[in-house]
Amino acid sequence: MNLPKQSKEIFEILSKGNFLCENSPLRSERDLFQACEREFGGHYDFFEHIGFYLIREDGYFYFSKELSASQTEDKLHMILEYIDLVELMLQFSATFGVGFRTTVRELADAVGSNVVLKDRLDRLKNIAKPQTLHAQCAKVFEKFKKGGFMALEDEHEERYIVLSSYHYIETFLNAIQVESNESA
Amino acid sequence: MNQLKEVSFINSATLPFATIDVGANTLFSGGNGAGKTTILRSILYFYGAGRSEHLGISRKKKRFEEYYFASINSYLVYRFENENSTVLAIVYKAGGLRVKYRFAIERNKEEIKELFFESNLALEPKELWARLHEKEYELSPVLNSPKEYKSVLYGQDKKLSQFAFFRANTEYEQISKTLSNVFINSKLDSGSIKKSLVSSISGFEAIDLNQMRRNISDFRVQYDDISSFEKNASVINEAVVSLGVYEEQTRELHHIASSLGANTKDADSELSFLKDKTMSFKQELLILEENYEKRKKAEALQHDADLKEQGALERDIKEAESKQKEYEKLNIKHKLELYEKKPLLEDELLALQSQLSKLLDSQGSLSERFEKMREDELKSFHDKEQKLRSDMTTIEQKFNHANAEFLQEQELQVSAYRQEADLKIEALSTAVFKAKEEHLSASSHEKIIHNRSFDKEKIEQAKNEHFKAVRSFESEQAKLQLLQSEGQKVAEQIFSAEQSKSYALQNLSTKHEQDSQALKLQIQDLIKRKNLNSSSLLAYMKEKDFENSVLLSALLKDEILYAENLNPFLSQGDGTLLGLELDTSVLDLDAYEESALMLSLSASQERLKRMDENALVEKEELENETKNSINALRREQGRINTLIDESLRKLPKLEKESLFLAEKLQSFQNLAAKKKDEELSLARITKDEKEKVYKELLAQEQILKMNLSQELQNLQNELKSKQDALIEEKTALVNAKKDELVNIKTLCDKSFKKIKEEEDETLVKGGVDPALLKKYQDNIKDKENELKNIDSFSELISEYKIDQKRIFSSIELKVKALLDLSKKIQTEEKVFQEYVEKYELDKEELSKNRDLFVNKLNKLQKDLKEYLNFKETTLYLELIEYIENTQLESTQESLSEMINRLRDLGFEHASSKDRLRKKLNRAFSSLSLHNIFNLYAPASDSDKAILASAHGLKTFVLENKIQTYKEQVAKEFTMTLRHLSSEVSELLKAEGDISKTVSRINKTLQDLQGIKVIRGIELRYKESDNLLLNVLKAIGVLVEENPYGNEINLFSAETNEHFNKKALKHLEELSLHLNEEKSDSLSLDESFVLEFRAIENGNDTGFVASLDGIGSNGTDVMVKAMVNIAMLSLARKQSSKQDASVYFHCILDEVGILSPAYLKELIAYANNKKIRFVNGAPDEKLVSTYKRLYMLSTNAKHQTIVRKLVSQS
Repeated sequence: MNLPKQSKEIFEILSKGNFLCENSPLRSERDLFQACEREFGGHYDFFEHIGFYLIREDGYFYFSKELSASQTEDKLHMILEYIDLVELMLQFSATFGVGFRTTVRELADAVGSNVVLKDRLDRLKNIAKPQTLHAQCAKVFEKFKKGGFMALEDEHEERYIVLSSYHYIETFLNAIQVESNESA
Repeated sequence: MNQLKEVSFINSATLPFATIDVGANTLFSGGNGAGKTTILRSILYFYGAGRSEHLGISRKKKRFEEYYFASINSYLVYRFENENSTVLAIVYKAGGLRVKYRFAIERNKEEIKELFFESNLALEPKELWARLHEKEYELSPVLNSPKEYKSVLYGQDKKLSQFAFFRANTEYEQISKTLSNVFINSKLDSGSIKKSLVSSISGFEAIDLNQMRRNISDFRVQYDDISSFEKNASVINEAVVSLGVYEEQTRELHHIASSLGANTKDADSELSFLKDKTMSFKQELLILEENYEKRKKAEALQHDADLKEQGALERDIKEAESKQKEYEKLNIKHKLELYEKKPLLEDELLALQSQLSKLLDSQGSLSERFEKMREDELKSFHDKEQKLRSDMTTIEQKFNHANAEFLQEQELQVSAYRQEADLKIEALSTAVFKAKEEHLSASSHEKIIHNRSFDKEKIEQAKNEHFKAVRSFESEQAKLQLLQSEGQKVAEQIFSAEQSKSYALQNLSTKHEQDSQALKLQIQDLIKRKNLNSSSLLAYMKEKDFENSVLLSALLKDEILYAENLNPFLSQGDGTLLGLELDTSVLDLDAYEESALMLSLSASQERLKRMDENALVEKEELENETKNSINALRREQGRINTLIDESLRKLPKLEKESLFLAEKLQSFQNLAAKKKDEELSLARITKDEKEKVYKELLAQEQILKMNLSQELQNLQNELKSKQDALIEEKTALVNAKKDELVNIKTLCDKSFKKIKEEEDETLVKGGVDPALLKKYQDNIKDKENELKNIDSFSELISEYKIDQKRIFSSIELKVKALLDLSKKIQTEEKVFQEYVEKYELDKEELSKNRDLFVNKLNKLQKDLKEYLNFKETTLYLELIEYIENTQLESTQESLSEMINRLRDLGFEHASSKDRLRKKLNRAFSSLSLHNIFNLYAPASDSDKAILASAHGLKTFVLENKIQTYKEQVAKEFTMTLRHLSSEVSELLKAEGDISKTVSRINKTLQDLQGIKVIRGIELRYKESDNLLLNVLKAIGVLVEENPYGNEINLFSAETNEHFNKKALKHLEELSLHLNEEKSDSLSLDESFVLEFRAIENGNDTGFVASLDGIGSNGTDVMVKAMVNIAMLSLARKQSSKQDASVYFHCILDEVGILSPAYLKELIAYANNKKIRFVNGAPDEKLVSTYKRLYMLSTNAKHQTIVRKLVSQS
């Protein structure tokens, strides 16, 4: 099987539950995305042999595998947590989505002048309550970053970009929407 | 023999004056800083004058010219021999940091000191030249640069060839380069050979990998940006289209806003106009109604009068008619006819009566009397009746008059009452209308208060203050954290500095102890040698005057054990040492003389003392330095602690302030809410009150209307009862009169009857024929009956006649008058009806117009209220500029409609903005933040940010700038490939040269004359497996295999697709390897592997990559030195074909690591190649190997003292 030399790195990233995104600000990750895209068939076959399914979505790759019941539950918890975060961000800007760029300061400023946002931020679970509002907002971005849905684009400005992997959360959100409509 | 013989220092570097003989293998021995390297470097300068870096001087240190030529009379003088003469090469200071050169051919050999000094003072250049002229030296012109100097030195300047060291070819630079490399890399590590080889290749400069990284990275960034742009073209176009929609909506929004502004401006004037107009219509309506009421009142009065008159006429006519009917019923016509006959009957009666009278003359008088009585009676009756009739008429007339007055009074009362009631109702209606308006106004006021924000500015200000305070608190907190981390860092630095200080001190003392221990041992050894113990072997030998004692002392040295030139053999004869005979002629016995020993001892002691001093100074310096740095760090720590304290003091204040401001903000908000509640409750109370008043007034109005109607009814009833009473009174009076009349008539009839009875009684008594009389009397009676009959209705007739005179005669007139009156009434009614109709029409029209304007006014007021509400919205604030600064003319559209349109469009506009930003986010998602197009995603949700981003993108798309970038990047792609290809080709060429040089070195190394320990050395050139290099070569091959025109269409899939794909792949790999490669440049020595093979005492190492693993340590160094010598020899061969008589110097410092035996063989090997060794070493253990030995030391002024220890011919 003629796979590129980056395959190892691709596996190392994806097998940890991370995403490879087309719009990552890191050149190395973009290169890995390109390599993965160029040799998708080869990579898919190769990873399938070792029990990982390489999934290609709109602008991102990830590994899918059979999950145990507890893992599924964990994943659902994770998604629920992100729903709260996404709601906060959508309250912050209705245009929040893939390619959205903003800074921690901008969020902190918005929260500082908007009681609803502040309330929503304070009610976020699993976000430690640091002393400053700025640090609290930074935690939100870190959560997204940790999940692989955002990336730090400018360290000095603390500017983040929403990655293509955000579609992954959107898919869940849309599914929930459809479900609630149907039940209604 | 062409060779450098001597170097003289005059006020140069640390040497006031010294002349060093370098005409043979020379060793400079001395401690650190004694001046060995200074002297060695000056020798190198003779061969390769030029840049300080090429002399092994780092950029941080003083330049060669600055260090060696401190004063105007500083000189370096090289004495060398060429084929014909001895030449002095003089280097001197020319001002500033520049030096100049001059050659001088010596006529007679003179001491340099005598030549250059006058009264112990060195001459200045001008004086020197004068002296040299005087002594008939042939002087070259002044040479201003190292290039000119080397040109003359290596015989390139044919005019000055007499001054040349030797005549070299154009490759002469190789000599100085190789010498420099040997000197600079004198530590003889494996890499230095490669470096020497590489530096011998001219024209190749190391490939700058950083530049390459930048180029590749730049290219890839550009390529990625363009690719991403193309990939996202559809999304980008959608974003541009969205911008168009958004802008269209923005324009429309602004237009509507401007129109709204224009209409609002006009609305105020229109409002006052409409108010005026409405008031004017109301006024007109009021006047119309007043006129109508007046007219109606007058008309009613007139009508009532007419009706009264008509009623009276009708009543008269009716009465006349009823009377007529009554008379007709009484057969009045017949009676009138009879009454007409009455005079005849009366005449007949009179005749009868006369006849009768005659009969009754007597009787007559009686009858006459009785007749008179009757007449009197009748007259009395008629008078009474007439009087009663007259009374009745008077009663009727009085009644009619009273009735007319009553009716008039009734009308007046009803009119007055109605007028009064109307006034009351009108006043109440006005009050109700006013109350209604007040109620509506109160409701509006309540709504306005409900929607109004109280103390907005105060709250905003408090919010801002609170926000600022929180920010200050956060920044102070961040500052504190930073300071704490800095403080921690400084503490760590202090700890580390203290640690490193103790380590450094420990190291220093350990090193010093070790060095001093070694030196002390050496001194003890030397002292031992000097103060010979009587029990020692040497003392014994001296004591016994053993002739070979010196020899034995030499034999005891370590290096003798390793010497291979002693030719040992076993012998039982005399002069043997334990039966071993040695060839001692090769030993340098002088070195072991007493004086040498003393010198060594004193030098060692001096070195020990200096070492102690240096150690103390170093320790002190180290301590001072560390102390200073720790003190500085402690000061820094103190400063940071002060700042932390300040920050800690500030923080609670800021926190308190922040909390205080938060409370203040909360209190403002509470106050505003309270105020709003209060005002709202007040407004509600006012509204309720107004509503209550309005309702009360409405109820009052209803009650008033009811009361008025009731009162009117009562009044009418009262008036009717009054009229009834009048009629009853009149009827009673008339009836009384009528009864009285009947009574009078009855009394009259009774009187007539009594008179008749009296008359008949009287006549009978007078004697009258009763039959005739009876006949006459019957006739008279008939006649009288007939007259009586006539008289019976005479009253009726008289009544009739009275009535005819009074009633019937005027009946026609009255009928006519009635008809006229009816006609008049009809006419008047018609006129009034027409007037009413006109009034109704006018009123309707006026009301209609008024209602129209009132509606307009209400609508406008509603619109303005709507506009006031709209002013509270954010949309208004967004459009305020267009609304308030409009230049448009007003339109017919209402404000409400416009506001609704604005709201709808504003909503659409906001949605479009969101859509636009989403599209922009998607469009910029894959483009790097700082992309080459200078396009950027919106930084926030503000209009400005979104529009700036979108306009940039739109302009870019519309102007098709991507094409320009494509062309530019395609050019860059071509240039990058060509540049890489050219670098690769240069590298390949240099590799070829290296390979050739290696072959030549191998050839030189084949002759190992003089070397016994090494049987053979061979170098092998091998291509490197460096991945980066391989990718570069692959790119070179690709470019060579694909000859193309000036341009490559990088972004076209049709042409060069295969080439582009491959080239991009190579560039990607190159980028990958460049990232993995940590070095800044790719030098030539990394492009190949140099392998060594050495055969040492029959042990073949085979080809190995590193020199370090060839054999023992000595062998390694030996091989390296031999390779250097071979290279130097090669350089000389390349630079000159007539090399038979030219000697060079191999200048190597720190040769102490070589064993004396190996060094001796190495020097012999070099000498065979016509190369002298000039070396530096810290001690004099190697003295036996050299023909010249200089001991270097420094005096108190840090000047170098040069002592010649050994000088063999």
